[in-house]
Amino acid sequence: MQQLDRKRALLFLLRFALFLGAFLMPLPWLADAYTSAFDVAANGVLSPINALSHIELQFEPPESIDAKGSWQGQLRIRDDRTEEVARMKLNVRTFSYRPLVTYLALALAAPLSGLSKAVKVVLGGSLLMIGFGMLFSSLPILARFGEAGALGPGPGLAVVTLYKAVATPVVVYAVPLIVFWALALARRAQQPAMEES
Amino acid sequence: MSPKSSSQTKAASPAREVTLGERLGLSFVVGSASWRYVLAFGAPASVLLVAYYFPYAANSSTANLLIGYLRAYARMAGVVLRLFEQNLAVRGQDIIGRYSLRIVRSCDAMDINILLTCAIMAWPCALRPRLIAAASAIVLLVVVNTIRICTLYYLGLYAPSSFEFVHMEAWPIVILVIAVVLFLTFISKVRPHAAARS
Repeated sequence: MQQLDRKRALLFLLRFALFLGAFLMPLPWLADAYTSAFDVAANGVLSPINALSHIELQFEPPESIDAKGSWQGQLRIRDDRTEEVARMKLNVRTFSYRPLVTYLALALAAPLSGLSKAVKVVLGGSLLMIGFGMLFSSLPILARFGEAGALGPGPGLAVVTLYKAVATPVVVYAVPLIVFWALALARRAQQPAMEES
Repeated sequence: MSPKSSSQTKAASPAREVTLGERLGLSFVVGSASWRYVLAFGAPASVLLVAYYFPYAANSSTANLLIGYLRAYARMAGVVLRLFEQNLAVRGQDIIGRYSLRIVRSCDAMDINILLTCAIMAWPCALRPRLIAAASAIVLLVVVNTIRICTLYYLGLYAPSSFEFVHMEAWPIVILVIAVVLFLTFISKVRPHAAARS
């Protein structure tokens, strides 16, 4: 690594550590506020799915935003035919918040010059990570159905394996890192080579 | 890292594809990698992760092999912990002392071992440095992970309220950062293949 690169890489790492440390701090009201926002967004995604099935899935946001809240989202599963209701807890911090803030910390730590670049990387990537967060969050739920045999043997096994492989603490952090790297790798423009010396 | 050419000039050089990373000032992150590299890294990593985390039937030969491996890992961590804890015992996958830990899949940091090894092995350079780097990286990650298990043992003993945070949030990011630094060090030291340079 060139001397300049090493210095820039270290600065990047330091900024990343500072941003991530700040995001992971147990800030008051954050848990309930984020869980509520997640629940509302997830319900928006689930509503067209609910319309197609006799099983209704709906997150129940916390009744109030408390300073010392909970990261446990509550999913209500109701069978329209039997009117049976079951509830499942989902750790929103693990499956949505941590991947999102890891990406945000990476994007904010990157030496971006220009507002449009910053907006593209920070907002565009964050939206992508919110989508990933939704996908992540669906895995423990689907895995529960898979383990119960409700998805059939093949898809059930696939979902359970995928859940076990991507829900580990390291991979939860690695996915935003890979997304960030992939975005950084994306070839966007043809331009003459700059002088390199 | 992109190779340098003193003969290139802005006016005379032919058009060259510039990565978004380079445009964003992230050349130290992207180096000379390409989408081909992402595929060469991602495909085997995905296969190995799936093979490791597949829910094998209980008592199948693969499940027994994995259990044997996790027991060996627990014994290895137990040997290190016994340097400080005289009355510590290892039974199967359980480390039993003043605090108890159970070594299960992902406690061995297999995911990061797989990701880093595949990232190194997919890098476009000669085979020998890749093999040396991958082997060294695995050894180093095993050492770091053993330290992680030891710290978690003492954290469980003396600061149980912070166990969950350190186990699930702090140590994983530390291990990941170590892996990224190892990888960046590796790619900065090796000479890429001619094909990858063009």
